[in-house]
Amino acid sequence: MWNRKHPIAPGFDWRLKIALDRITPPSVMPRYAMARPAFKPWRLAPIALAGAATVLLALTAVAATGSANPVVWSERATSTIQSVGHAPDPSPSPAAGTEGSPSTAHSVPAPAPKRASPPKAAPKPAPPTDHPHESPRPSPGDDNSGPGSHGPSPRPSPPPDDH
Amino acid sequence: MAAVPDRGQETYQPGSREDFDRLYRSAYPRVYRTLAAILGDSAEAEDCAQDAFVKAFQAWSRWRPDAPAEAWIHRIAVNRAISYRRSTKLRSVGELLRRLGRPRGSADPAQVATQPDLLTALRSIPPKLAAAIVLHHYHGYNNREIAAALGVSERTIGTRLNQAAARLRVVLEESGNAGFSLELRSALSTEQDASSYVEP
Repeated sequence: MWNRKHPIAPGFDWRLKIALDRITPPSVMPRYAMARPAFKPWRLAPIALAGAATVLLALTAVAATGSANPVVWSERATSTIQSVGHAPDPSPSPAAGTEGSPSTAHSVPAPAPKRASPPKAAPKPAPPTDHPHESPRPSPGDDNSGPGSHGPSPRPSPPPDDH
Repeated sequence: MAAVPDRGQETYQPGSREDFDRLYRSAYPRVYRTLAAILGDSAEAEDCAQDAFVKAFQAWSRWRPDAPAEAWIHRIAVNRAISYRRSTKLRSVGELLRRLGRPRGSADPAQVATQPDLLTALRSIPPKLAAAIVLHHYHGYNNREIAAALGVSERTIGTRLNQAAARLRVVLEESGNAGFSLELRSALSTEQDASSYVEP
């Protein structure tokens, strides 16, 4: 270690070692143990985004349903999904049963032109009844009064002649 | 990420709190002495060393094991010391301008008497050169390791070592040989083997 041809000075290395080994670092609590972790705002971005999306969804639901009750939202959503996914039943054929058939004594109104918008709730086909005066629940296609209206029941057909 | 053996055959896992605590216990004394050699003041060295470990702890999970952990800590500490010396110099320039015309106060005789001339000489050269000298002559890093530790080229380290050696030679020659002789005799009586002593 001791070398006369040292580039700095003879004995520089061990002189430096002796000088620095004499220095005793103070035994203190490390500062990093007491430091708080660095705040990284970008790590909160997904949480903030999710929160904002939730709030937006809630506001939309309140505006659509008019209620702040989540149960109402879920019921409304369920009914909407069901109405969209439920295909409307075809309307019964009108031509076969209009002339003298007792089963068709109740009037079967003329088929209405097809409507573009699907019905909200497709009505069940009316079962045959013994009461000719009772008119079946009209299908939306039967009524000529316009879209979205549950028009009045069709005019009952006159009773058949007895003779 | 796999643990990487350090210079002293220590393995560290990036992001592990226990491993960082172990690194602190192992490296803090050495880092402190490096900074004491650069800054020449124990309080400043402690302050900068603690700051360096705080920064290292915050970046511990991002530490890449392509360099030894202690060398990585040294890099942070040396950069911290350089910044500290720069700000101290700016403050001293301001102080000098403020006291322009008034005689400068003399150094504390007690401090001059007790402070080894070698450390005084190290403090008189730029901190980047002093860091290279300490890492090479005290810690035993070679040029390639120092270059990797400080993030500069090996050629730069070679240049810095040559410049530091030239400056220290002048400073030590100016300070005279008396102190050197006394240190040499005391060191030989306690540390050196008699067979390795060569008459100057």
